[in-house]
Amino acid sequence: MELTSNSALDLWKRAVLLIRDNGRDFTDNDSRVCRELFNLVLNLECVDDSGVDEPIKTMIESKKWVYPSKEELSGIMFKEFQAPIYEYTYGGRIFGFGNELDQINSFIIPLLSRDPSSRRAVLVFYDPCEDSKIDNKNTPGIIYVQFRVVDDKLNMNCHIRSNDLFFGWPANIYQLFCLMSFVSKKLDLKNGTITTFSNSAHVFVDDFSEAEDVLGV
Amino acid sequence: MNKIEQRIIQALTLSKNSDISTTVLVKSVFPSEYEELVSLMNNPQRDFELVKIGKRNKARLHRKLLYHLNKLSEDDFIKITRVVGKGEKFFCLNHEKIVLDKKDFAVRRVVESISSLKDDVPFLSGIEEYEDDRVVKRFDSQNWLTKINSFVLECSRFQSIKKLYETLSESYPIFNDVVGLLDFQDVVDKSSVEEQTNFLRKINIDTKDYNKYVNLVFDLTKVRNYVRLSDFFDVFSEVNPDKVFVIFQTNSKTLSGQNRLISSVVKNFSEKKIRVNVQNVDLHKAPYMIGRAGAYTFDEQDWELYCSKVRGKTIGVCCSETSIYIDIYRSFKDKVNYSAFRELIMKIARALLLATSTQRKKSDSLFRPVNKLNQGFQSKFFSFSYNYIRLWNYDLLFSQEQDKDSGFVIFNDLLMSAVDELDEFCKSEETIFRSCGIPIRFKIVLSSAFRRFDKDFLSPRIYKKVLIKSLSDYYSDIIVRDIRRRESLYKVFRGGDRVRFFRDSRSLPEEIISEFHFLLTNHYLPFFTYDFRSLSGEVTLDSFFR
Repeated sequence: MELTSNSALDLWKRAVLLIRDNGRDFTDNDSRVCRELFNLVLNLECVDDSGVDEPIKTMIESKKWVYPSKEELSGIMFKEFQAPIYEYTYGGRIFGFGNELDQINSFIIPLLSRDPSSRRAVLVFYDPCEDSKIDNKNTPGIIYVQFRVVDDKLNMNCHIRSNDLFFGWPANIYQLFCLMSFVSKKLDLKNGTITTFSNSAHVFVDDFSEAEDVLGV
Repeated sequence: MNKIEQRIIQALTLSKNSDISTTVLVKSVFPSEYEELVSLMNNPQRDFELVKIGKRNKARLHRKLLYHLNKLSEDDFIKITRVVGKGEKFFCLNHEKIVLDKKDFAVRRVVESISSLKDDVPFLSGIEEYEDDRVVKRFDSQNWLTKINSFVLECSRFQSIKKLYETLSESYPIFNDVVGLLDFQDVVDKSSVEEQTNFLRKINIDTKDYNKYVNLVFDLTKVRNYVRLSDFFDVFSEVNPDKVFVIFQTNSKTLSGQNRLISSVVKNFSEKKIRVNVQNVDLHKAPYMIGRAGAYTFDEQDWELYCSKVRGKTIGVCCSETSIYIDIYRSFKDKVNYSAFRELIMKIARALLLATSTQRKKSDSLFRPVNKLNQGFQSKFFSFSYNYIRLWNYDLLFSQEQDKDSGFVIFNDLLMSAVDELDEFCKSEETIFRSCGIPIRFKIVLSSAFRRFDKDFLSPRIYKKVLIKSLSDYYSDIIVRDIRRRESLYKVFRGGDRVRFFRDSRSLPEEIISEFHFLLTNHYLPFFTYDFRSLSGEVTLDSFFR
């Protein structure tokens, strides 16, 4: 299924409702009932004007939970905020994959500078050496991001293996926006569209009533 | 920034030597005061009274300077390079933290960096109203966001007692309460009496200077050389350090085979009024520690996981990140309100989450000394830690009931339900953060608070202490009832609890050991302390001990 919008808040609401109304239930490893849709595609167009942080603000203002701050969410995407207290961080995987490879500055930016039409600008988050261990439950949700330059705009396509649409997607879309802005600035491009492809797009069933309250639906 | 600290930095920056002693620093930082006291000490009349005043002023200046040296050292701006003679410390600038360009410029940079560190904590916890009412307090509020409370170091990871001391010295800036040295019997096995004495003297000075605690944890089930251990406890009794505690991990069976050793320990410790802390490993295997705030321990399942997956990869493991205490007496002295209590607990839980989030952001610079030593496994060091909510004077919640027994049952149920609510909160927050790409560990545990958590702040103790004189005291109805209550609380206080028995020290060691056997085999008390200091005031059996 695929949804498209130029408002992050609208896209988020519609996605949660879509799962509520069309998802199938299953019980996860922690015995929580989860409603999911397979392979949900969400296109956020014109991201600069989409109010990309509106879903986060909505979560924080609801005061129902302690939601991570925008500063922490964006911070963990960048290496300078890399902190050893985390099991992994996206920043670590982006700027120091395998403790050595800076995927953005050593690959993505030089590649797209030289060949803007390249389809090889893939940024990988999942590290099989670290993550492909049977007992390891703390592995990144985002598997890879692909950058494409189309009509002088930078577009991003992101594969998320398991995506809590209610709690996680607001953070994910904001983090992707921060990363996109970082790269587009370096390449002197405008921001375009962010597409998230969620293999398991889900919401926990016991969160639906709170979700409806927060989303005002 | 404090002027004295500026002068210290200036003296260290401008010095031609690699490090400076405390005495030399006193002269540089307080030149006029020092000159004055020298003139008193060398007064031409040789007036003994003036010499005494001079000496007293000198000691006062040293203490004043040490206070600021410790603050700078805790903030990682200066380092202790060595300790000589009777414990005089030498200091140098921490060049890892400060990049020196020109000397005057360096002073300015240090001053600026210290100011920015202090200013960078505009933190709203959401419990300010309760703090104003003196109902809740953060442990070590000044360093709440910049230090962890407690951790354990694995002695087996250190080749020598010297290396262990070096690591311990480097660790003082990262914690604000207690560090437990696990399997300290191995250190005793591998070091000479002279080295052990030296070690104890140095950590005695350090812990006093920094107002922190060190626990030497002996696993008696693993002891091989009783003679060496007995010699060590003789030395320990002689040094009798204030803020260094010995913890014996044992069980009744082990104790039976170590009668001579334990008799000599009990004899020595009771004479010197040193507390004997006993952990019953049959009931709880994860190590216990006791600091200023209270007791600390790990969940049994977490500890098992640590032993099987992490032990050997890191130098130890963090136990507690932040602590807040609730003064139940102040909170509910007029009327006990259970729903208000639960509301307060949840507000504190949110405050702890916000605090740990702030701590996380700075964790690479704040915890550099341990991160360096845990290279490759840094995150594992923090993967079994807890946040503590400590209760003080909680007896009030049930002692006001007409029927105190049913009052206690209600109180116990209240705590159990609070624990369930806390677990649910922690779990859902972990899920939220994880789904946002922030894989955190966030656990909150309940525990009791010690009075030394903050003597000036806490309401006066409402429970009474009691002196145990013989084994038969343990059969009195009141004592049995109170022990049963504490047994129930051990199940709720998952962060650990301690039962302290004040013990008349005039008994024979054999009598006391038989009481240990009795407690180890007949009661569910994972951790208890025998305190041989005499009680002032109440020595009756009408209430209990803490």
